Amino acid sequence: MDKATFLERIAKPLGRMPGEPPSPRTVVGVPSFWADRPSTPASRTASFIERFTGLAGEIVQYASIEELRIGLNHVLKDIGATKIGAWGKEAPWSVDVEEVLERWQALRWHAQTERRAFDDIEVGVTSCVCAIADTGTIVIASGPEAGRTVHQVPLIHIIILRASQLVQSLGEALRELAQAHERGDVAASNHFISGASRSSDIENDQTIGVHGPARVIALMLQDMT
Amino acid sequence: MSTTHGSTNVHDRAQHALADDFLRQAVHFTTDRLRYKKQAVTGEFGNWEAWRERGRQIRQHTIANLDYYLDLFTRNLEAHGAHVHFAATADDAIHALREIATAQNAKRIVKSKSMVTEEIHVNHHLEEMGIHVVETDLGEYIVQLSGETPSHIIIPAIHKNREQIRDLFEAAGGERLTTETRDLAAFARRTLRRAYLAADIGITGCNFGIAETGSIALFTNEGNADLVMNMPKTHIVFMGMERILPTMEDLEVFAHLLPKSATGQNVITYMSVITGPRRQHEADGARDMHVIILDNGRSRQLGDPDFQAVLHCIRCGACLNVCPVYRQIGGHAYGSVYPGPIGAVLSPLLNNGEQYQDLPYASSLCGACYEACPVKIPLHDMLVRERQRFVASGRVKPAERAAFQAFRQLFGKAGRYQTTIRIARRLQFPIAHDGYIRAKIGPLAGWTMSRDFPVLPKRTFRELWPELTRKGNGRG
Repeated sequence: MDKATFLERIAKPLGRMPGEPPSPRTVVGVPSFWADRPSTPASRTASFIERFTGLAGEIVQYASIEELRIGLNHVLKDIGATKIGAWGKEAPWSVDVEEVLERWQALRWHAQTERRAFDDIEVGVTSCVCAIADTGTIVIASGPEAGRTVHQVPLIHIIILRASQLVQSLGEALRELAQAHERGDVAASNHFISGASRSSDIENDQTIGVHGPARVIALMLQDMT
Repeated sequence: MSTTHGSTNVHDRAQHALADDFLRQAVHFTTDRLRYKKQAVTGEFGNWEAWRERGRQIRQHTIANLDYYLDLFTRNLEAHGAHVHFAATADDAIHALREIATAQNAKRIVKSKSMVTEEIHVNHHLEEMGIHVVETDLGEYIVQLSGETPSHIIIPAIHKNREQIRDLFEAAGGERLTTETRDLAAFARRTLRRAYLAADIGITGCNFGIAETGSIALFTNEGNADLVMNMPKTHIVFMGMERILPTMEDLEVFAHLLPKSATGQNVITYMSVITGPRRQHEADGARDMHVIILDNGRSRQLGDPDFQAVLHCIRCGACLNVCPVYRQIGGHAYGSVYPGPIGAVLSPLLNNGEQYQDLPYASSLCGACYEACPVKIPLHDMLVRERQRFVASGRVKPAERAAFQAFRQLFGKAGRYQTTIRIARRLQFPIAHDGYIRAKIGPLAGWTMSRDFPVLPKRTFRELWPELTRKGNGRG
């Protein structure tokens, strides 16, 4: 059916003319008691850690970039992974961890990547757009050097971020997404990740890693103190 | 929609379900778990009634202006390079799917959970076209292997135990498995990963379409929808035309309402917001994106003061978990794709025929569904109005019509009522035992087989009243 006819079938019973602007909105988005809550860097950090770990996420905080690099190296050593995938060099990294990724000979994502090369990576290392204190959520946008495969395919996902990237609410992250659309540079994929992949479909018994990563590890640079 | 249970009615199917102890236990356990988790998470979240009201207001505004928001949504989708198909009927939607699949020469398709694709039997049609289709949600995968239909909107394989699941997986994969959840889930991960990699097309539903950006928001806990839409070269989205929200800010409200109501989770594990196919210079994500927008009886509810609000539904399944009928009989007894209170309301409306007209009677009208609904749809009122419309249109069994005519005669005049009661008191003796009526056959049996029916007392209240008045006056 053509669009005009389809929309007309909707407009008519609603008593509207095709193309008529919408009735005025009385409310948009969340109630004000939610939008207007006080939020400080310290409260955001505390809330994020509580929520993120509550979803079985693992988080380590570092006071300096150098410590974070050493930390990433340790985490990779502990995992004992042999095949690591990571965003490309030009991707929007929150902290420069090139030296560590090179040392581990991580497979790097770029615009000409053959996706299948990442089929069997065990660990994916990425950064993120922001993270949400209310829900312990990591937000990842796709891009030429930030392939979705890097964090969706492996069993372990490591996220590099800064405490200054924490926002209080989901709404702040979503508003930024709408603004990116206005500017004409919204990412094709914005992925909101809250903990490990899980399912309770077998006799209500919760299991993790059924499709996505079973471990989600955040390495956060504390840059707000 | 068509029933998957032949010509049986809800009563027969319910009898069948009631005889299945495992099913009843599993449904009870699951719905209790979801209900209690919801209670806990909404209690901790606070102001739940204010959130529900906010959800209702946003949905009401959206549906009241749906033509505008659908227009904006689809213009934005097309601006991002997606193809939009408008399907007035299930046949139109299947036709669009067939054209896309043929153009892509598709042989294999992976799917994530979507009620609207169940509604129009997408899998059946794909198989007819010779296309191999795999459900990737763990519960849906189990249900697909067993050749059944989902029994719960959120937890499709609620009726299967782990031994049955192991047997299905062993038959599908040809390898020995234990009944450990971890082993079963690992088998699914291995098997379904191969399916993603081999698929030509990925099919998903759509939790919300965001008008202001043309984005599709998809919620899963497993992360399967994300792989379904990103790994194959073509992504097809099926969505009911009502699945729209005006802005990203509105999505925040529903990102709280939906997982809290559905599973008692504070937040869904994965929310994918997809805005068009992969961009230039991107090496993954679908190259082609098609969005099929389905009416299939929905527009008939628009402008109807009794039923327009049914389109506010966000498919969370909270009404199932609290329904005293669903909790006893499970999803299959409804015989329609949408079970529980929402199914009892929606199925006859979308179908608009005699099919499913018994479903509005499969309810105690207790109103628990309304209390549980995150967008405050008055489902119990709708069930009554559906019954009224069936009666008004003459779609009632002759025996029921005769019974109600008799009822009207009997209760219409006080004298007639009193005489009848006096006669009934004499006639009841053959079936009255120990103060209760126990009918083994006839119309009363339906009640007395499972419930108490006290015998008519020796004297009615009216007969007692003069005496009571006398005694009262004497004391005063």
